[in-house]
Amino acid sequence: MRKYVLKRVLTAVFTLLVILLVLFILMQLMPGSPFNDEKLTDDQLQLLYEKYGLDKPIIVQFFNYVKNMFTGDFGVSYKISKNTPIAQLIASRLPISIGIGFMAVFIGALIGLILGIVAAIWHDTILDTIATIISVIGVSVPSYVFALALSFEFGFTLGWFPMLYSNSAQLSSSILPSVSLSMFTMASIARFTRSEMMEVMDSEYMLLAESKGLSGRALILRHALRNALIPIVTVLAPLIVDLMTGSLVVEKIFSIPGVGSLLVNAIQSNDYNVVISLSFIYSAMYIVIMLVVDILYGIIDPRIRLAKEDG
Amino acid sequence: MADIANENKYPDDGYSQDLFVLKEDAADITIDENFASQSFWKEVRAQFLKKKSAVFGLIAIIIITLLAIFGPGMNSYSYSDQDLSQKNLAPRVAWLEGLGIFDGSETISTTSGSKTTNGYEDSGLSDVYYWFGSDTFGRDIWTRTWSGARVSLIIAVAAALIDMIIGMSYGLISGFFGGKVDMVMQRILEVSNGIPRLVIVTLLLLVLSPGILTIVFALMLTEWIGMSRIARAEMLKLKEREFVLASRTLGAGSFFIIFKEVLPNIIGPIITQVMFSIPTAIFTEAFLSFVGLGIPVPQCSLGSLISEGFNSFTTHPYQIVPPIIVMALLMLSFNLVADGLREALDPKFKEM
Amino acid sequence: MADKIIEINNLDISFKTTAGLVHAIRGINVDLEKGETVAIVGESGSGKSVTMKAAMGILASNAVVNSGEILFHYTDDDGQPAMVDILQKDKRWIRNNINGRRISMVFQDPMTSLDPTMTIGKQIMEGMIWHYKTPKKEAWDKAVGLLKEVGIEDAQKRMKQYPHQLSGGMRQRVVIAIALACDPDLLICDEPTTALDVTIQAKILELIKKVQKERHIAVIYITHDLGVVATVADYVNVMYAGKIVEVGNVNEIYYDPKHPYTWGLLSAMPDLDTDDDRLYTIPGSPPNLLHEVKGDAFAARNKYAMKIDDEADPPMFQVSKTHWAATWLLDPRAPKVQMPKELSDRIERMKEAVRSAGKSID
Repeated sequence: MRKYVLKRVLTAVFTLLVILLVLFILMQLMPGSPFNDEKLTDDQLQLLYEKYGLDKPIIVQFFNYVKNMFTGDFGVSYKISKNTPIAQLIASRLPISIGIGFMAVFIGALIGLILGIVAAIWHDTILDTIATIISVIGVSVPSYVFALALSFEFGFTLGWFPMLYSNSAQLSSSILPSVSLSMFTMASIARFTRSEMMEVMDSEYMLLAESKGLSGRALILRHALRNALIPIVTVLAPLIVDLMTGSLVVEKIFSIPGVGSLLVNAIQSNDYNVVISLSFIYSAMYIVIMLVVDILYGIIDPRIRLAKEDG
Repeated sequence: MADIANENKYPDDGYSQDLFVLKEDAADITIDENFASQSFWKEVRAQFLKKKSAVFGLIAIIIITLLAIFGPGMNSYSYSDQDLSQKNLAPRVAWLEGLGIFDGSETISTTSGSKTTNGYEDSGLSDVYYWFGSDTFGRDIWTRTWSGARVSLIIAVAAALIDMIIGMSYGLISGFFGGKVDMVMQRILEVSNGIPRLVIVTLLLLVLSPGILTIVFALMLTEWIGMSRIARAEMLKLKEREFVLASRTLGAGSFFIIFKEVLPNIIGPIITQVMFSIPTAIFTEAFLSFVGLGIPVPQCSLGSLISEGFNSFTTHPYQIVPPIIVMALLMLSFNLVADGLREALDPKFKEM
Repeated sequence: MADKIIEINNLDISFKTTAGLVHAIRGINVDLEKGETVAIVGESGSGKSVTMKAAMGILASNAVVNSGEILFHYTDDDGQPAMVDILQKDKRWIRNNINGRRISMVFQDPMTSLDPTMTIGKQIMEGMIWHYKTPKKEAWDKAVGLLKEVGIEDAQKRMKQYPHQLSGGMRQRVVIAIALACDPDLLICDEPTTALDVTIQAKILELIKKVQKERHIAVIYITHDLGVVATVADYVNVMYAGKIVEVGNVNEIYYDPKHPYTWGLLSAMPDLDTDDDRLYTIPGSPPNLLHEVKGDAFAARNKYAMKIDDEADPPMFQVSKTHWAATWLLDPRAPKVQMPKELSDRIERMKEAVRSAGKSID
């Protein structure tokens, strides 16, 4: 187990370094950095170079850059909000995005699990068909279509929920965005849970458990669910990526002041510094989540937890 | 051990003596009818066609593809023709007009309530028909929807095929050689998998200018991983099979074995994966367009059409409906076909 | 007979599949007395496992029982002898009274038949706690005892381990311990050694024999390997395409087989003594039971097929008090056909070997 965790951590750190290297190179190549400003004189440039350590060897620069990124010193924005430190821009927005993302994962995972389990237990019945239809629609329709439909129906026509995000009514105005974001997660988890459950229920050990005379409920709870849920943990990570992508659009539709809409703005207005900083934050979040999921997987699966240390 | 029905006392069963002769057909019995009669692909096709949802998906894909090819040529408008005097006209179809639907009238909600207007009548356009309506620049939505579908399909299929080639080769090579090669290749894969797709795409768009090629390239960089995993897993399974070992004993080269012996045997799961990756590609393209990084105007894709429609969807909802329906139908159909294929190809799904 | 434990009479089962109705079991009869061992031998797909799953009430949901009965004799909770037709009982009753408690099953592949996420101990104790509400401590001690009984050392330590930490042979011992946990009267072993190394196979068979003797329970072996049968079974049922084609005691089946299919199976057994180094296989494959079989299902693969085989399914012809076979070759009108020369030579050699070992064969 220790070896397993160590391996995951090393991979994660290495991945992050690769990403930082790419970002660093892009930073060097990008126009629009302070040093490309035509109004600067050579002397001023020289001063800036010294200030930012750009006269040092490239390797040192890179490690300075890594240090800055990890300490939250992302530099300043040039276009969106001139000379505002990016850290400050992000600080107010990140909690909003994480909050909505968390709500979406929660709703999606919960409903998805229930749908998947119901579909598997009563497979080939009307319940299964309904759950399958829901999940096929969920994976087939992009989250922003849901966002549009929901905001039109419940926001515009019925007026139950606000159409746009507002700071004064955070919870009620987060519901529509979270629900539309959660659709894909829900559908994927439902599909995956169903197929995992079906596979587990088809297995020899379920037959053995059945031959012991256990009741249906004991079979499902003690044997099927536990075995089916372990692999489900692994799909959470890729789903979070889709969630990040989806959040960009959903935040735009509901005018949510989160990091997603900030990234969209930054891309559209060519604010490279902000794009690169956000890329780092997204990558770091994703890598940490993946790492946590991997370790969690190791803990709940005895085959990994108790694997021989030399294997 | 008794009690088994005893019927052999005497042959009172009416069978005549001449039935009791040996057939002496030793030559015939070696023919194995069970296995000779069923071909794998025939079986797969039968299984696939039995699944109604998959057949529905296939038909929908064919219809949408045909419309994407011929739809834009079916009326006199082109995707970029603007006529500002004919903007925001609701759908109007000649032979449905009489029924009171698609007659060009629309209900507009305003702050003071809703009113029904007919743009065609108001502007005196008695013989002008926009089947899906016209947009805020007076462009024909029918033509734009199908040229958008065309662009989206081209992007998706191209990206999926390129991913297939890259991912498959990567996975097959990694799985076949195993050992150190596999380890290094898998570490590389793990690292690339650790970079969120969103980040790769946005960074790429910083460097390259938006357009079909850029989007295909972005999709190529992000979608090959799933494919390579499947190819590797299949390779690991097949590597130890007799026919591969036999081929190797006969002195076949590695690449011959990989591409001539193993590839034909894993084509099933690969096609399924391609079918699953097409909707992802359509989705990613739509997302990029929505964010404003898609196809440059006046060209359009389903994503950019939805994005345009979004701006006026509370006032003229009909503008956003066609691209959304076409896209949802496409994604749904590809998913259904992929599901059907997977089940038809997977022996686990066959009972008995 | 008073000591019968299970009687399967005229069992007939079909499966609903997407391709149509598959007639998997076509009227079979098996019975077994207490303490006896019967083997059901046949190729995969001949319906051996389906029959046993029917006896356990764990048939797949798409199975349809067309006719027949499975009579099970047992001692009820008040200590009175009782008899029940398992096919007439609902799943719940079977679960509470039969499965695990009175009939238990040992599965083919110990690598897949244990729950990978549950400790060995819990899996053994589960049945006892479920059926008898055995207190945890007692169940633990009993489970440790069972592990010792099936020959696992370090039983206390093994209790807390997971299946992947054990070798294949050990896992099969655990599966047997699970099967014995509730002191069943009948043990069904579904290919218990097929997935194991040859060296371990014999040990597992030895173990089952030992357990059977000590506990005086009846055992049904399901196998495709006549070699396994020879060492353990009292009676043998040879099954082909959902029917029993020959039944007899071990010696009758081995030394005086009557059905051409049994000849094929015996010829296909690997044999160290033969000078002929070709391994015999029965040509062709079992018929597709999706289509109703007319006449004798084995005819298409039978070197000795007669015209009558295409017309009618042969009845069971009695050979001796315990020996029956379903082949028209035993009909008085049929030409006299002898088993293949290679096989009769082989049987002679086997008899010789047994005689020289000083055992009797009748």
